[in-house]
Amino acid sequence: MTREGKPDVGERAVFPQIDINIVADDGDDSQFCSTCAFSQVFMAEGVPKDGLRDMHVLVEHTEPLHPGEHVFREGDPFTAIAAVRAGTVKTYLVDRQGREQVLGFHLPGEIIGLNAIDGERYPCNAVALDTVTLCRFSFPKIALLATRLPRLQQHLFRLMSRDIGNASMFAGDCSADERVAAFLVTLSRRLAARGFSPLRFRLIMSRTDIANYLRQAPETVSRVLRRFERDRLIHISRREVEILDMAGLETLATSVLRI
Amino acid sequence: MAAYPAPSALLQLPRHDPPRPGCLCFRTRAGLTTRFQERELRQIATITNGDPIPRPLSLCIAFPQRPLLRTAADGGARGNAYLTRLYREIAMSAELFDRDRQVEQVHVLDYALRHLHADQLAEAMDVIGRHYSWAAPERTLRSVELEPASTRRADIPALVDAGFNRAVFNLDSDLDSDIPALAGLVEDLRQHGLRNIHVNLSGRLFEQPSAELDALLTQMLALRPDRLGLRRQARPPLPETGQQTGNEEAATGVQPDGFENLAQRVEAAGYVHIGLGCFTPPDNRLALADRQEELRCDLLGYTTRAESDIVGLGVGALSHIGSCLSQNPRDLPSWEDAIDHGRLPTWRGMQLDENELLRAELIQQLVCQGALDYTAIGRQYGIDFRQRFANALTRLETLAAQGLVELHPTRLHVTVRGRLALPALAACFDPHPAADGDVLRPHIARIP
Repeated sequence: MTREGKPDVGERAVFPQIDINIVADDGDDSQFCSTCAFSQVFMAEGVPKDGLRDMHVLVEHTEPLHPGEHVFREGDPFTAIAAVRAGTVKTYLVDRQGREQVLGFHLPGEIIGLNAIDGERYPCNAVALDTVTLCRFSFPKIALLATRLPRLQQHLFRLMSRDIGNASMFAGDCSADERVAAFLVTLSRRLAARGFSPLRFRLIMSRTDIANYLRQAPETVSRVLRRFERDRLIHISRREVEILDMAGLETLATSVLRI
Repeated sequence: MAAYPAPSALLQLPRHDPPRPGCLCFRTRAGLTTRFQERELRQIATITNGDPIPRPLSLCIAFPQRPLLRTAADGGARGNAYLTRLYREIAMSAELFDRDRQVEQVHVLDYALRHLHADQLAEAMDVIGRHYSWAAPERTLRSVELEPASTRRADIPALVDAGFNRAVFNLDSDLDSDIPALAGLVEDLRQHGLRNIHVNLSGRLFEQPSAELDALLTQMLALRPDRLGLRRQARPPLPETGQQTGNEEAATGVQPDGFENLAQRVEAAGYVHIGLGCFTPPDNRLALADRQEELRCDLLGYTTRAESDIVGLGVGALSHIGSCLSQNPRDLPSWEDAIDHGRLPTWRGMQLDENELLRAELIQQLVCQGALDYTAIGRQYGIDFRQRFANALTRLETLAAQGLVELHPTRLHVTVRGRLALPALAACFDPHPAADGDVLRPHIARIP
């Protein structure tokens, strides 16, 4: 059903609902929070967090951001990459005509700021869509650490590669149906990877943002979703999405996702 | 899942107007507050625009109870002044919503024909079309509240021309003299092709001796309305504070007699009871939807339509947008003042919290589907139903003993008798139960 295997849907938390087993685990001096994008790597390397502190790698939990507050703005000096711990962050650009272009949505466990490494300034804006908490990692220090920990380096490369792939996902010449299906399938997979239910989740982003991200008109997105509902692929109530036919959606999404 | 806005909260929102069959009221945490203003209204409208499939819109157009805007003396000037401001409000409110959010329903309330001519109502429909997008005509409901006293037979062709396809008659006081007029209007409406006619009886009508009430019912049934509403009570008050509630009546069960008999009378005439005192012929869409479990209930009563956001326009009008309820000023000068200053005339409002939304959804299922499936609800909202609503289930046991509801291990089911006591059943799910130990002695024989 997903790449993580058949999910136990009944017991998984529905994003962004907080499940004590997933998100409320803040970690402590010797434990990572379980949503941390790096925890698996560090655990595999046998470097617990207190060890990291000794090596002066900054893992800084920030104060919660409120909806509409920015994580960074285009042109800000790049010092750190950030992992989303809770909430959803939207990255976007504003063109010369003042039109917004949505680049992506970042869910718990995902990294923002990787595209700032080259140029040492953030090349886009990042804004909290709901209440967002972040872990910030000093980039120079984590890069230095990566020279000593091959698996960390590998992981960083993987994250960057994924970032590049995501950025070009909707660049192709795909139909609106294919785009919307791909959007739902990737969202579902990403949430599943963090322990959330892959079949039920709440869309935090507005349809304008979704449409902008998919390079479609908002009306088109709604029309496609309504059609998906009629075809019993999904069920939507307000912002709550339930995927009824994942295989059907995946089939539709094939030309965008290729897998 | 504690969902962002659950379906229409079953708050019954009374205004100054005669009661309509609507839904139940439960205690709310805070009540309507003047801290909720235009800014909050704009915010919730924007949020609902952001839904992946934004809901269609229903417009409710309200008029002042008094003063009458149409008097013999002023030649319609006051009615025109009201309309001018109403048009401004229509234009301002339309800007809140994305253009693809179509208007599927318009409800003209408060006996507009007391104030305006039928062709002025037609003009209002045109103005709506200029600022909002109408849904396709075959999907659009245009409802108008009428009363025999202010409706001339000559108005009827104009109303039908203006696209009105439902007429609602609310009768709440002595109208012996009006019965022939009502029958004439109903006949004319049907002749002109308006076939969706509702008749609601309420208030003082139920205080008369039972023989007279019986005779009245006979006359009403002879009109074969497409929906017949029987409501003893005027609507409960608005949720002012956590203390005030529409469930006082349900909680004390003071209504002594008669409703079960009345219901039997109406059913013997070939009607089915949908719930909350609403009866329809068995081939009516509501009755069909009821059997297919597609019934819904919103501020405007039972409906087969998809959920909509309700936008109230005019003096005292109520809106229900997303998870928020709000109301325009009830006095004409305040409403006029806001509009003259280019402001949306929001007087007060509130946002329902997730607990209230969940309970509203439960009450919705209770009064529409007549059943609650604990497993399905638990799964949908991420809760352990039996644990979360342990108190409600305890309270329901009393009603189960009276044969109003069947409690099964994983679901409950409202009995046929229980349909006559839906408010009492729903009151068990009141999110803010009365502090006095939840005395709940509902009586089945109660006009909902």
